[in-house]
Amino acid sequence: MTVEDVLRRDLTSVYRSRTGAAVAAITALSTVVIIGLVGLNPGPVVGLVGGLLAVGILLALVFLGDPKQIAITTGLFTAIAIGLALGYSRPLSMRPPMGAAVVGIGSVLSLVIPVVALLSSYATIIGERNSGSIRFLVGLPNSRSDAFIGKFISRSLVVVIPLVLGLLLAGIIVELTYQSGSFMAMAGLAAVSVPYALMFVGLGLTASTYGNSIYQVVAIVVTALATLRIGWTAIRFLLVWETNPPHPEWFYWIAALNPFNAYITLTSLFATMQREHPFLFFPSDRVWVDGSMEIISNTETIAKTPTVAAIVLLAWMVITPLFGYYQFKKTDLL
Amino acid sequence: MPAIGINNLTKRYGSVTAVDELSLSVERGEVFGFLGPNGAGKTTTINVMLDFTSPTSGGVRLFGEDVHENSVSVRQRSGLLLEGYGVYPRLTAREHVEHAIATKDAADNPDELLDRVALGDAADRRAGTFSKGMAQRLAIAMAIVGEPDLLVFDEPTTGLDPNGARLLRDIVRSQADRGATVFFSSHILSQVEAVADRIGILRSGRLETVGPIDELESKLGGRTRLELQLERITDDLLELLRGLAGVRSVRTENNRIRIKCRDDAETKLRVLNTASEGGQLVDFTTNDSQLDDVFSAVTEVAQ
Repeated sequence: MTVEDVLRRDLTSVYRSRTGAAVAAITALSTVVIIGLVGLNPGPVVGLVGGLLAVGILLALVFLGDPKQIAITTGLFTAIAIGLALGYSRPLSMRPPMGAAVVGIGSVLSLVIPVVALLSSYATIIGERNSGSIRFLVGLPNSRSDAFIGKFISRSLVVVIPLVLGLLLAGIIVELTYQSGSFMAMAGLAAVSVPYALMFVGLGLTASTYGNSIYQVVAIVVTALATLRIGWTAIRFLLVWETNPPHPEWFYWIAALNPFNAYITLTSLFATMQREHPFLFFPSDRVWVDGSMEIISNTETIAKTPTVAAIVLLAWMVITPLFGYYQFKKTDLL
Repeated sequence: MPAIGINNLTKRYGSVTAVDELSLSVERGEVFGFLGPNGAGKTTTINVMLDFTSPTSGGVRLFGEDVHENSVSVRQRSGLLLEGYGVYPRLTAREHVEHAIATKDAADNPDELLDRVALGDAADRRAGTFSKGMAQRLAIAMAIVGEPDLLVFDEPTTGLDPNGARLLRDIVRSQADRGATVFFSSHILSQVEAVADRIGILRSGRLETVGPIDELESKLGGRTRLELQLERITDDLLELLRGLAGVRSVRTENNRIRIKCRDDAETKLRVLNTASEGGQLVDFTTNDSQLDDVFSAVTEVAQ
């Protein structure tokens, strides 16, 4: 089974480089450490200071340290955050609402997951082409499919393992120290975060396959991110620039097909919220009335439903790496 | 059925033709030297041979199997040392060999293979710290994993010191002795000459000549090279030498005269007598035609 050999070899290399440890560090910070520190007794200010300190130290380590140092420090911060959260939680009535945890982590992860997933995957193929080790990858009796799938699984594990672990630990903290906290909310968040992470691992891998140099790969990745996150919204708003709400239904479908939006829609399932999620691409149809925003209509369409969001996210997860897969299969690698 | 059957292979990159209607057959158990100057198309041929690159037209069969259709099984039977490879910097030497063994489902002992290439002491060192020569020996160890039926070596002596080069020659011979076919590609004639049974010379993507080593040497047979050392060299003398029957070329180099002429006593004597009369002959050496000459003759003529 050569997929397994490719996978094992690749994981070993990643975990001996800083990439694996850096991904784990950033993921732990965005989940357990944030949740743990924000829930603290003296209030979010302590959490903020602690969080900034943790980010600073870890960033320094990611650039200067070796993988072991990064891993040890990450573990240490995570343990401190859990210990503090459980030891100094506030009295029940003063605890932060669970909705805040879900929205907070969901928002942070909607940006952090693409970053760590791309970080772990963008060099996958181009790195081996640059170093020449791709001659072993394709010279040993691996089929191109085995090579690509082995790489995809390896880089996915690098992201998914710390992500799921971080969210499950965060779930324990939320359960114990947040108002009406529920472990299941974080478990649900983990479930929708995995396909989202896989989509961006696929994007990095595809870019890595198409680019002929590391610069081209980075350019592809940055362009894709900017298009999906900013360009998509911009175009959507330009299309209805001169018109007043209520907007036609296709306006919501455009938003619904965006992977960021699909992920945010799905994370919103795990908290009862007073208002719409701030990152969501479907604001209700609002207009300014006497100096304040008023909702004048709220178009009902299946485009806004979590079912559509789930289908959209899964489709992105499957299609994105397929582009790279077919390119890798047919391209002249050497 | 030959081990390697290259049939009318052409590979173009845009307007550049890297390999031009190449046909070549290498028998099983043969050590074939694939010789040519840099840029002749040797590596492109190998890339097509192993399905890394698709041909523009024509194709390659290894052991009768089409290399594109049976890419994996063909590589399962091959051991490769490719030009421009790089080791995995964070894996140890042993892990490299173990990876090759696992991928090929072979039963080799990694330590034996590393001892074979004199890397036993460095087995647990990460390959990122290796010198070029050590990396090359590691790649050789990986190539012979699983006793492959075919070994493809592309510029295998790059970075090897004389000991490493000797080690490589020993390995090529022992692999050939157990019946493996070896395809040895290089631009360095002496390396190929030392191991090959048969040589093909590639130039500008075309096979200029192919044959057993001795046959190639006799292709330019009946020619020799004389090198004369004289007290003084005059233009008159050079003209005189150039006019002699049987002399093909006369060049001077560092107070020496190099003459290519017919390889018979009469011609050589005539050259020596003329030189001795015209410029006080100090010393002379003769040099029968070597493969070097074949190589330069073949590659120069076409220029």
